[in-house]
Amino acid sequence: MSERVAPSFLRSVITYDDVILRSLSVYFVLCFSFLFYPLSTADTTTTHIFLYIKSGLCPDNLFFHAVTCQLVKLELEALNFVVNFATVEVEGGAAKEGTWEGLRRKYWHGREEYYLPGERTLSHLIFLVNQHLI
Amino acid sequence: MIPAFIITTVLVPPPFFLPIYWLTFPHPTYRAMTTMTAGDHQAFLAACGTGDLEKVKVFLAAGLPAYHQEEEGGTSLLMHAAKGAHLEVVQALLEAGAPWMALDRQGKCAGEYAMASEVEDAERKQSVIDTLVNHAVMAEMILGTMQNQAAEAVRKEQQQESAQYLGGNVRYEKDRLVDETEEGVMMEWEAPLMEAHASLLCGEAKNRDVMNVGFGMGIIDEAIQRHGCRSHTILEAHPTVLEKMEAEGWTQKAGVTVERGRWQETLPRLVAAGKKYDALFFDTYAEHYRDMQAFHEWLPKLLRLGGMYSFFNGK
Repeated sequence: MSERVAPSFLRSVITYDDVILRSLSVYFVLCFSFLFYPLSTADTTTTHIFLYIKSGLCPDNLFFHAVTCQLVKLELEALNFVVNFATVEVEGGAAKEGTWEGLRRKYWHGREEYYLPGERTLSHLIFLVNQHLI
Repeated sequence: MIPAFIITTVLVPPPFFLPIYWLTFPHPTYRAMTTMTAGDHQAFLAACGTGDLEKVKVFLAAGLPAYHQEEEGGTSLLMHAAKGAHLEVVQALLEAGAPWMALDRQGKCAGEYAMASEVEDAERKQSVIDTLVNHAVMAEMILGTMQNQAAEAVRKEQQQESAQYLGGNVRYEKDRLVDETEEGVMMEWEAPLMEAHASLLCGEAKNRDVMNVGFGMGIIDEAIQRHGCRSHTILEAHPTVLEKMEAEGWTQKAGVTVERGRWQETLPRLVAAGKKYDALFFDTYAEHYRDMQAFHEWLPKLLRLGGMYSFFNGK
């Protein structure tokens, strides 16, 4: 069994430049697909991430969580922030027996890594660069 | 003699001609949906699983829907392509409208299939994962914008949930804070994570003005106090939590300011008073992603140059 791989941006700081809508046709295809989507999947367990995003950052599904992290990253970058996620190991407490006893549901689902968001206003970096150049 | 098809396509005026055309020649997707067989679906799934791009294109061109999921395990075409790390097939399916967020009967999405793929070519595997993430983000941005435009009902529902929490009881148990619906609001296991957040927010120099939104059990506030800062502002809205803060002396602590009330009401007041901070932390309860977005809009007004922002990324 090979190793599970996380999306690139969670593993390292990368420049993300692929979010610009590739073409309007993709948008229309996307909208079109949603018209037909319920027809084939009404009796399966499909759901839409929108329902998850409404209620948080989807920690129960690593991939959905990655998508919400990327959304936050892009939104904050639009506000001139430099966004990084530092990987922090989650220690035993969350997985310990009895931790969740009596509670209606878990809000942490056994993942061993926590992606700690650290955002810094871009202007500071510009300031540092300017200082360095001077 | 004029051929019959010229009479129907050229000589019949459009308003009469179009409905007749639609009845005679339904859309290929609709036509395929009414005529396809289980065998077609099976062959389509197999083509995705083996990465046979040409076959996949043929099926798509024939109008077979890109959103198909098989009945037994609920796996989708996209999941089969993602599992085999077939990048071109994944791209073709996404462009044909395959839903990236579909789940199989075990609750797994195509992205998880890609992450767990046993393919040896790590680069290709990574490309598939990133393609799925990029597509998902793009879709969510479009849908988020669309939803924001018609979100009044959703916003009211979210506000109601927040009001229910703030108007309801919470209780402190040994190592957790629980609301009246038996949901965990905050728990002690988060302490090492909060320590890491506090370390990032406070830095080494102990000269920052730090704000935390949402006291809860006060885990991060204790960590901020340990790390040291110039000033420490805490926003909290729940009456029971505020009582605990008072009982524990937070309202009397030197360098600590407790702001009572929801951040939605408190922040405009602080901004109007010209308050600025070096570090902000956001960890509220019974709020939604849209609330967090609304909070983010305040960041440029609240943070100084080089200010640091972080939030609890676990709920």
